[in-house]
Amino acid sequence: MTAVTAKGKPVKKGFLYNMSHYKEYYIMLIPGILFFLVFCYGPMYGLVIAFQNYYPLKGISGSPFVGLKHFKALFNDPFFVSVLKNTLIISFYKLLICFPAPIILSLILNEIKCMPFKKFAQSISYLPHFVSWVVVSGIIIEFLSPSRGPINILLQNLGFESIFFVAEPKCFRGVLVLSDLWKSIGWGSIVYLAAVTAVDPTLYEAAEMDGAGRIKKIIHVTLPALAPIITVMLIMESGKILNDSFEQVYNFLTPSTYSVGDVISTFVYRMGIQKMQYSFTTAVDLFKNTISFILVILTNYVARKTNDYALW
Amino acid sequence: MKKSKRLIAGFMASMMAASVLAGCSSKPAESTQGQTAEAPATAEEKGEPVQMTWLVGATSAEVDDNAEVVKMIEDRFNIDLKAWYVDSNKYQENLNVRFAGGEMPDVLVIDNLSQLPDYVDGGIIGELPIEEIREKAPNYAKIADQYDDGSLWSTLVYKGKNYGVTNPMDAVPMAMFWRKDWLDKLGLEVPKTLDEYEKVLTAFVEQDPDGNGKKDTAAMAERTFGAVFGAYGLRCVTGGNPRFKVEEMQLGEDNVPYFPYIQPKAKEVLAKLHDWYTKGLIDKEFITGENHGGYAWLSHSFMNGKIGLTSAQPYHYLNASTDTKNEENWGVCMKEFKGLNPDGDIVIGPAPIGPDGQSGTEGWNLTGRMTCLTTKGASDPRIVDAFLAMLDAYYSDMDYARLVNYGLEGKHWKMADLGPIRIMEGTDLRKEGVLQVDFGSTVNFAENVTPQKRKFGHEVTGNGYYRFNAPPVEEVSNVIATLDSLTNQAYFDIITGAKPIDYFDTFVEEFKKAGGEAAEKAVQQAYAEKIAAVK
Repeated sequence: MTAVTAKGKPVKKGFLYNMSHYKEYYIMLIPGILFFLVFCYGPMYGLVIAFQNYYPLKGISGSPFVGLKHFKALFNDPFFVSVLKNTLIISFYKLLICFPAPIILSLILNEIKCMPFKKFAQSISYLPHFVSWVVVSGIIIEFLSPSRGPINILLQNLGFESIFFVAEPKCFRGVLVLSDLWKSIGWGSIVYLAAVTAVDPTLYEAAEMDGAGRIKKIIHVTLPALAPIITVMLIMESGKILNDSFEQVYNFLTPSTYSVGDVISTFVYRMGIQKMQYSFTTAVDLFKNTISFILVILTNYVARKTNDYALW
Repeated sequence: MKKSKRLIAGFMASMMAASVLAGCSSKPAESTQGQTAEAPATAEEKGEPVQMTWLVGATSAEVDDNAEVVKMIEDRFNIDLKAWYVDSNKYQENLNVRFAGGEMPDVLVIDNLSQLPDYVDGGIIGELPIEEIREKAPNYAKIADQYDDGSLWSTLVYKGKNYGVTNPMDAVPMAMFWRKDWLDKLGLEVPKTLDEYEKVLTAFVEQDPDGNGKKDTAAMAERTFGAVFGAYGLRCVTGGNPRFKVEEMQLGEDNVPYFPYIQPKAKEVLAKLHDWYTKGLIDKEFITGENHGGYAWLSHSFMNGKIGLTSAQPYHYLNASTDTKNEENWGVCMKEFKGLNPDGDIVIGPAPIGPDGQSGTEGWNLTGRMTCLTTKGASDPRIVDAFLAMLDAYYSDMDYARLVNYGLEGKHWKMADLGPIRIMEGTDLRKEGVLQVDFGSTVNFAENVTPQKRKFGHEVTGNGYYRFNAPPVEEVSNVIATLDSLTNQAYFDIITGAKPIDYFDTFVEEFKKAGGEAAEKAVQQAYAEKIAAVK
């Protein structure tokens, strides 16, 4: 907390001096810190219930301790490994495809000079974000239907066999990733578009003077300007690798695709149907969050090693 | 996300605790008064009305405290009735938050027996001894005895004690709905046996029943699976999202429950279904289901002319008679069907008879509307008395039963040829306090208030494999997700041919090894103990 870097000149001052000098900022910080203390750190003691058989009315103090029972149940389950594997693979595909896509879209949108069209394209692209997965999955299942869906009708007319995309294990993950892409790309691009508009126009003018074309300007001006926000978004995304999208997977999943599509959240959901298993679900969550935490730390570490932009 | 949920829960819990404390000042006074002015058995004796809160489940609207129906109920039982309302969106979560805050209604309807142990161990549901029910609600007890399927009195027994009342319901098995215009066009009769079924279904595929010149029809999908299993004596339930519901066990004739999906007969059924799948009788898209969204009992494949046979409750298509011309007789699904096929027609046929003469379809619980008193309600004798009086009235006074279930004639319902018809529905009806303190479509209610509907329902259906209220045991809940995955993967793979029929034997071994055998034994033992507890 000692070094405040201002354009290469390190200013070394004491912590107290720092505080009194920037006291307005510190005062503004108080509500935020309080928020996290009261609402995020305080409730963490509730994680204790992962090691109990928790009954709400008896409370944490009244519920019996069972140690690692729920974790053992989780790890001993014959489906746990395949469920974890599916979660990781699907998340990895999504990260690979759905993460860069909004960046590319925002770059493309940024190059559109016709403002009305740009606004229109932008609005259309983020509309799917507001439609719930229940509806989207219904639409997509119809769209991919082997007998009624336009894609399969096209395939048949071209002389191919129709493919039951949603029920075919080989295609299922693709359906998940692409439907997620369609739904999230527009919404995801908003944050990048905001960053793009903040780029100093003089940089573009200077690049033009140096003879840079559109592509060169994108590569040498826009992308570097986006790098910090891309890094931050990537670090945040990496924390979500184990947090699969329940609403999406659950609505697409059928027993023929359990082997490739059953993820942690859908598995826990089926487990939870039978009982109000507070403790078990907390144990699963604790496990997931621990891994996510490690992933965030790792990504941040790598980001800091490879470029200057990291969360901390 | 999880964190924030928990914190909101904590916050709300403290708010609830505060409001409960605030409410305390008036309550003890009331209940002590209640105890001193303790009436022997009847609630008729005048005194301060006892405050009674009732949670019937996830409903669509808050009940108006001054509604006419509410006032009539209050006057009759000398109570001050408050309907608890819990937002049906995230019902269970909201409810649990209120419980966690120490707040609870006096009467609570649970929809899933597996909640009982948690509610009892968690101090939410209180004991209601069977002797007390028999003594204070004799008319209920009489009818309950008469329709006891062997499990009625033991349903809500946990660790040797009884927690609440369950009701003998007028459960109707699923009916088989055929496209009558297709049958007529091909000159076919409604089939009766499994072999006849196969002939008609094959004709649906081969002989172009919709007359469009293309071979683009299948014959059936997953909602007919139940009837095929039924022909082999097995209970099979496929849900809204097609899935074999492993958690629903079958109760054998010897009163011993078991998992139907690992029975040797199930292999024969799977062989039959696989055969039909290969021949195109089963719609390939059964994997994503007959229902493509919206009201769960609609079968879009059936309405869109993709298949010619489906299964549902009789009233989903027809209210109270087989007359398909009378629009007043159309149920929800029939209205949709007619909207898409103005010239289409349907006919109800019998469930297929299997090689050994067995037949039947899935039925819902014979005992239901499990209504419990919370520890708060059970601790006040006046509330217990009022509750049992209301229960008894539902079985002895049909005008009262009609009032709490259908409301006031002319305002909430009217009499038609086929029986009473609601003229107010949904949110509006809920606000009026109707369907708040009723006990559902019990046998006596169906017999006396909606006789046409009941008669029709049973006439068009045959044997029912009714839902068994399995006693919740840890051995099941710990492995049910695994058993579910195993069964569904195996079943879908065998039907579609991804795995050979003989894979069934491997599956059964795996199922047993994964805890299925221990789970089955535990349920059998727990059930036997429950039965013994009430004898």
